[in-house]
Amino acid sequence: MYIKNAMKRKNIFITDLVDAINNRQIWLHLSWQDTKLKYRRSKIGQFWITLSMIIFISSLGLVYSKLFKANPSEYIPYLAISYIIWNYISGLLNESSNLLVNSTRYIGEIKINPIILILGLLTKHIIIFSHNILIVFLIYFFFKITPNSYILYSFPTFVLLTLNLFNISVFLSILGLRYRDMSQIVQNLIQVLFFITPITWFPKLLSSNKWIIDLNPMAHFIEIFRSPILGNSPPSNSIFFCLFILILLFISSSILYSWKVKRLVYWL
Amino acid sequence: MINLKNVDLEYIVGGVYSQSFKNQLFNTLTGGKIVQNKNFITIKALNNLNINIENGQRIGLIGANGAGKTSFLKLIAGIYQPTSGELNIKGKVLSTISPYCGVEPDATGIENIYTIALLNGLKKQDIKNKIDDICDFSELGDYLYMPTRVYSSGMLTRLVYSVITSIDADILVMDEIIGVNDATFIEKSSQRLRKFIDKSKILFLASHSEGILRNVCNKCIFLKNGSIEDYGNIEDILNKYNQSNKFV
Repeated sequence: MYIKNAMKRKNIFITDLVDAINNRQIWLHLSWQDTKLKYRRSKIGQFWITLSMIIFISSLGLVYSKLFKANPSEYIPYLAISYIIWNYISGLLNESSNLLVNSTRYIGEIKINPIILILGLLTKHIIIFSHNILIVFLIYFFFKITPNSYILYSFPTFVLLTLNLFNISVFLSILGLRYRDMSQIVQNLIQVLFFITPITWFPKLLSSNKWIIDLNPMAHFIEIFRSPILGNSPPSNSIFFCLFILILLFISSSILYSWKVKRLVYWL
Repeated sequence: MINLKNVDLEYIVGGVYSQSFKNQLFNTLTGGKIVQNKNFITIKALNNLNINIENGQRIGLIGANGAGKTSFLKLIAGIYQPTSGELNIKGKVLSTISPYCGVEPDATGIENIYTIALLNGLKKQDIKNKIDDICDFSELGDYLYMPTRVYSSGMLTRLVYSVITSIDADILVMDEIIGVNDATFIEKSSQRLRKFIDKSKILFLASHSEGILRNVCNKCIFLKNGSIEDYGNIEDILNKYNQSNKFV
């Protein structure tokens, strides 16, 4: 019965989304300000994001390439790109479950559409991601990789990845407000996913039991963006998997959102 | 124009226990037999409101603490949505219930002007047109380029006040009158407040001060236990309210 009622109100999600896009100045302003303020009092500013990523990747890359007996010029670019995307995914999802809980200064105080806050968080993480993506150019330069035309695929696949993440973020932020232990659950899950997803290891190292990768959405999310950057075409099965997941996520997040959005203010 | 038809507003108050996913899961798995979830309490904040408000009204809200004044204001401001019933509002609503909303202590005065104005529905272009007036009126000078964390509370009030009163709206929603205590600023700011209120088509003002209500409003809503006890001309309603208080 709930689901049936929610289906009738399904357009709330769409109307709020359209409203948030029309009011993009708010969330663009807030997310830029957030990033600027965090680094305003430091000398190299927000390039701390890039620097700490470089330190992480180079140290992990050197040690793990020995550990996996892999060629550093193959392993380090792979690790760098995988980890940069992973950082984007995990950062966004980890913060999503606490987003509305930490928005008490907006929700219940002024009229604000929660999608605006979610898009603000998404933008903040895209800003961080765009600082990290500079490392790809360093990698190209350092390992003398010339990107081919497949790199153009990375734009649509990034959009596909981001749309998926947006829908997960809607879902997690609502659940995180209702159930306060959700952020612990999400953090745990993200930690586990980091180790079972091919980020620090090559998929080819898994000789049997390929389903570990095939059924892991994160593996596909990363793969569709990593392949074109590394000069391969994104695997079509991964693209289809991501499109399929996107449809499922869109339906479930729009049902949950339309069903519960009126009550969010009382859950604070 | 505002129209309320059989509007109810219910709060759901949850305890700490009910906000656990783990407990909810056990609850479902055990069919609720072992862990009973009785932590949700519903409070009826507003009860069957029916009212029709035409443009041009200046409405004061009175009632005891907990009578539903702020709930009513938040309903009009769109912060709460009615649990049942119909609420129709024509026009842009501006609420001054939380004027400091969005103020970031580390951001400069100018940046905070943008934040407050954007959150209250202005576009960047509108703000650019108004920013000189806002800055002049606030008299903050070079402080506008400093982080607001170095401001005194009076300076911060002046900043927020200058932004809010520069915004045009059809319907104004105020929980107590906004104002500044700065002696030199009072004269100037009350003129600006007058203009700000006069520009609006409908005003809602909740206040405990009868003087202010008499000064600003022409109509009055008397709220009691979440219901509209009476609505009418300000003097009649204030008299009725005072009469009813005498017997308590």
